[in-house]
Amino acid sequence: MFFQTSSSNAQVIFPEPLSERIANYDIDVKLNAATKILDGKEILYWRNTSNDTIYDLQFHLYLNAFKNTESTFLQSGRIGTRGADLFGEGDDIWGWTEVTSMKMGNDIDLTPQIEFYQPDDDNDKDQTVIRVPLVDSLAIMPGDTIQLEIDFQAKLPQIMARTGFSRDYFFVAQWFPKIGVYEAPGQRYATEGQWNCHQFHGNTEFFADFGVYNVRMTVPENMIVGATGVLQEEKENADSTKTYYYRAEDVIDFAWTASPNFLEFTDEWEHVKVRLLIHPEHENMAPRYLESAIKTIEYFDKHVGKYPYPNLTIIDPPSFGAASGGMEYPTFITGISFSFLPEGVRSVEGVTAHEFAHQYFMQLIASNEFEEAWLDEGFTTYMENRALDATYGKKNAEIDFMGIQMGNRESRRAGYVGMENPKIAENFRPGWEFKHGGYGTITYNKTATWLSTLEGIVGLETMDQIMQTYFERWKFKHPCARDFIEIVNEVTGEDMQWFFDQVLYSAEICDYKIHRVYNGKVEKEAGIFGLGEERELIVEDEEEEDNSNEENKKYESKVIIHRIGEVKMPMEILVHFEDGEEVLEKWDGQARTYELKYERPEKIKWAQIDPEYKIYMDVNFNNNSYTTEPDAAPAYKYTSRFVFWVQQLMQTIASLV
Amino acid sequence: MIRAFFQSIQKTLFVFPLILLVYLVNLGLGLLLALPYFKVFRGGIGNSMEPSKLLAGYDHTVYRDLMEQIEGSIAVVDGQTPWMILIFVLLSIFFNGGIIGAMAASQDISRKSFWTNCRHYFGRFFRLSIISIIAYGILAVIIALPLAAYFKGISSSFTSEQAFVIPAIIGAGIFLFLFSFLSMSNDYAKVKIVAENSRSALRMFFSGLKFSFRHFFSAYIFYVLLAMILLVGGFTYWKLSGVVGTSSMFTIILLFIIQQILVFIRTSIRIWHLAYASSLYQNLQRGGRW
Repeated sequence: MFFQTSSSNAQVIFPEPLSERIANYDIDVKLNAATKILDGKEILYWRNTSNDTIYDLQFHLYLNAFKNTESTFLQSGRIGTRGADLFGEGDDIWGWTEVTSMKMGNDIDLTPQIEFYQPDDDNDKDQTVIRVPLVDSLAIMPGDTIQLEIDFQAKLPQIMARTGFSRDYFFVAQWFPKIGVYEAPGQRYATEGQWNCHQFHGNTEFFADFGVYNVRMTVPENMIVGATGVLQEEKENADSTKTYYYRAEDVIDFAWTASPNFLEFTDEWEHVKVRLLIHPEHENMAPRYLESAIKTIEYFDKHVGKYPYPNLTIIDPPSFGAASGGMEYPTFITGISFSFLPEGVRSVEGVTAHEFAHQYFMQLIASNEFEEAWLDEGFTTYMENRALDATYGKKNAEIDFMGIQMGNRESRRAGYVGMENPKIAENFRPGWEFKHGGYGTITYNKTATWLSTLEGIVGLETMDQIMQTYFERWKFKHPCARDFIEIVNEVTGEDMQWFFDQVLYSAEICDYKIHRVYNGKVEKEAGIFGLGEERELIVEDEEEEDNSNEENKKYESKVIIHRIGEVKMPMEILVHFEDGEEVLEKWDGQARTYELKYERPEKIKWAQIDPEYKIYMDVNFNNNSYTTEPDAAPAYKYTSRFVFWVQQLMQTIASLV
Repeated sequence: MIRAFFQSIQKTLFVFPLILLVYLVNLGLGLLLALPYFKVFRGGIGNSMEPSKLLAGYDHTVYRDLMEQIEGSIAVVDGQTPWMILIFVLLSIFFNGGIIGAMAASQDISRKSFWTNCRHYFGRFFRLSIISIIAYGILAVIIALPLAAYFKGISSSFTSEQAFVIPAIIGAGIFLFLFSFLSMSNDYAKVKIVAENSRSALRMFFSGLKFSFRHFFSAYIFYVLLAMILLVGGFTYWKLSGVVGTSSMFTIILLFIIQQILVFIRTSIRIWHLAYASSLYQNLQRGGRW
C-alpha cells in the first residue's frame, strides 16, 4: 500500500492491488432525510503518477448540474430547452454541491483558491468543475501523494440523471467532490500533461481514476442501504441513525442507495454474490433479475474475462423513483421493472444484462465516457446483445409476446438502420458534440451493429480473442479508440484501419444491392465479319437452333451488383443455379458496380450477397438477394391480414352508431 | 326472452340476403384498399428472397427493412383507410333502415320497399348516430375525469404502481359496461324509430335507453351472449391461424377463407341483435309491457 487511510481496520478485498490506485477516498457522510442534504468529510489521497510537476487540481462537482437552469447540463437539448419542466416546481427539486473547506495536509487551507472553471464552453454560470491553483511551494512533484481534507455539503435533487431522491427513496450518485484525471503526455490523446475534467453535459457521463473507497454513510435507522463495494460494518448510533461502512477497491466511483422499503434477495455464481434490493411492488420480478444477472456474469466470464469483484448489488427502484433505473456504477447497478410486465417482454433482463456489461466497459476498462461514449455504451450494447441472444434466443431475446418476436441484436440494428438520418454523426465525437440528435442511437446501436460486422468479418472466435485481449490488457486502465484498433490489428494479423476509418470515423452507411440477375441464351455470332474481299455475312439459322440438342444449350448468366452506400466492405456472393449447384464468390466490394458472369447449361435461379449476414451494418438486407422466381405469397399474406382487420374495424365502428 | 330469441333467429334467416349484401359491401370496400396495398407490398418485395421468411412467422429484421423501404407508399394507403371506413359506416346506417323495416314487416318485402325504407330512415338514423357519438364522448369524459383527478391526487403519495393499474382496470371495466349498454340501447332506439315511425332521433335515443333499463336482463343478457360468441370466434380464429399458418399460398388462401367466414359471422351477429331487439320490442308491446 502506498497510501495510508483512516480505515486500517477494513477487511482487504484484494491482497494485491489490481489497479494503480491513483485516487483514494475516505468519506464520512450523513444523510438528512428531511432536508435531503448530505454533510460530508472527505479525505482524498491522490498520487501524481506522471513525470510532470502539477500546479493545480481540478474536481468535478456533478450535482451542480442541477443547481439552476443555467448549468451546461440543463441548457443542453437532452432534457428540453431548460429542463425545468422535468423538475416540476418548488425549492426541493434542485441539487448542488458546495465545498466548504479544502485543506492540503492538515493545515494548508486551499479554500480561498477554489474557482469555478469551464473547460468545454463559455458558460460561466456552470459550476460543475472547480480548479484549485497551487502556489509553487505546493506543486505536486512526480510520484508524490497528496492528502486533501475536503468538507462538503450536497443537496440531492429530485431524481435527475439517475441521482437524487423521491420521497423516502434515495439514490446517491455523483455526490462527492471528485478529482479529475491527470493525463500525462502520450496517455490517450494528451500531447502535454493536462487535467481531463470535463463539465457535466446532458449527453455525457464520467471519467475517473481507480482507487480505494472507504465510505461511512449515516442514515436514519429505518433505512436499508446498498452501495458500491463490500459491507464492512453496520453500527447503530445514539441519535436514531445507523452508520454503514462500505469498502471498495480498484473502482472508479462510489454510489449508494437508501430506502426503508427494500426487500433483499440473494444468489451467487462461483465467487460472485449477487444481492438484489427490490421494492415490494416489484417483488415478483426478483427471480428475473437474479437469473439474468447470473447468466450474464457467466457469459462474460466465458467470452470476455473474469469478473474480479466478490459481489454485485442490483437495485430495483420503486415506481416513484423509476428515473434512477438503468444505471451503472462499480459493482452496483440499477434495473427497472414493472410488476405487470409479461414474461415475454424481457426489459428487466435486458437492462440487467446491459448494466452488468458496464462492469467491463466503463468500470474495469475505464474509457473516457465524456469523449468516447461509444467505447463503453457501444461495447456494452454489443456484448449485452450477445449474452441475451445466447440466453433467450436469437430471434426472441428482447420480445416474445403475442406473436411478436424480436432478438436483441436485430433490435439494435433496426434502431440504427431505421434512423431518419443514419448519417447524422460519426461515432467518434465527444458526447456533448451531438448537438442535433443521434447521440443515443449512434453511440449505442450503431457501435453495436458495426462490432457485429467486425465479428462477421473476423469470425466469432477471433472476436472473442479480441475482446479478451482488450480486457486483459486494458482492465484497470484508460484506453482510447487507438488502443482498441491496435488490438484488433494485432489479433487478426491485419491492418484493419480501413474498417475503423469507415465505421468509426465516418458517418457513411453501408448498402449493397443485387440489381439484377440475368439469364440469356448464348447467341451464335451473327453479322458481317472480315474486311474487303473477305467480308462475310453470317446469319443465325433459327431452324438449326430449334433442332439443336437441349443438352448443348448454354446460357449466359449475369449477376449485377450495386454498391449504394459509401462504406466498402468485402462481400461474399452466393449464386444458386437451377440444378441446385451453388458457387460462393468473393468480391472486395470496392467498385460502384460489379458483375459476375457465367456460361453454363443451367440458368441462375437466385443470388444473394452476404448470405451469412456477416456485414450486419448493411442498412437493407431485403435488396441483398434476387430470385428469378419471386414469391408474391408474403404480399398476399399481409394484404389478406390487412383487409381482415380493416373489415373488422369497419364492422366495429358501424355496430356502435 | 326465449320467444324473442327464437323469433330473432327466424327474422335473421328471413333477411339473409341483406346480411349477404352488408357483408359484400364490407368486403368490397376492404378489397378496394387491398389493391393498392398489395401493389405497394409486392413492389417492395420485388425479386428479394428475404420476405419469404415472413411466411413462416414474424421476422423483425425482414419486416423492419421492408417497412423502411415502403413506409412512404403504405402511408398513402393508410391515409385512405379512414375514408373507406366512413363510407361503410354511412352505408351501414343507410342499410339499417331497410333491414329493420324488413324485420318489422315480417313478410316478404320487395326490393323496392327495402330501398325505400333505407332512404326513408337514413336521416333519422344518421341523427341518432351523431347523438350516440356525443353520448359516447360524454361517457368517456364522465369516466376519465374522476380517474384523472384520482391519479393526480395520488401522484405524490402512491407507493405502488398498482395504485394506478387497478383503478385504471376498474375504470376501463365500468366504461366497457356502460359503453356496451349505450351501444345496445342504440339498437332499440333504431327499432323504435321504425316501429313508431318517429322523426325525433333524440327522443328515440332516450326512449331506447329507457327501454333497455326497464328490460335490462332480457336485453343485456342476449347482448352479452352475442359478445361471447364473437369472443369465442376471435379466439378460435387465433388458434386456427396458428395451426393453419401462412407458409404457402394454399394456407394463405385457406386462412383468408377462415377470415372471411369470421367477418360474415360477425355481420350476421350484428343483424341478429337488430332482429332480437325488434322481436323483444314487438313481444313486449303486444304483451302491453311497453
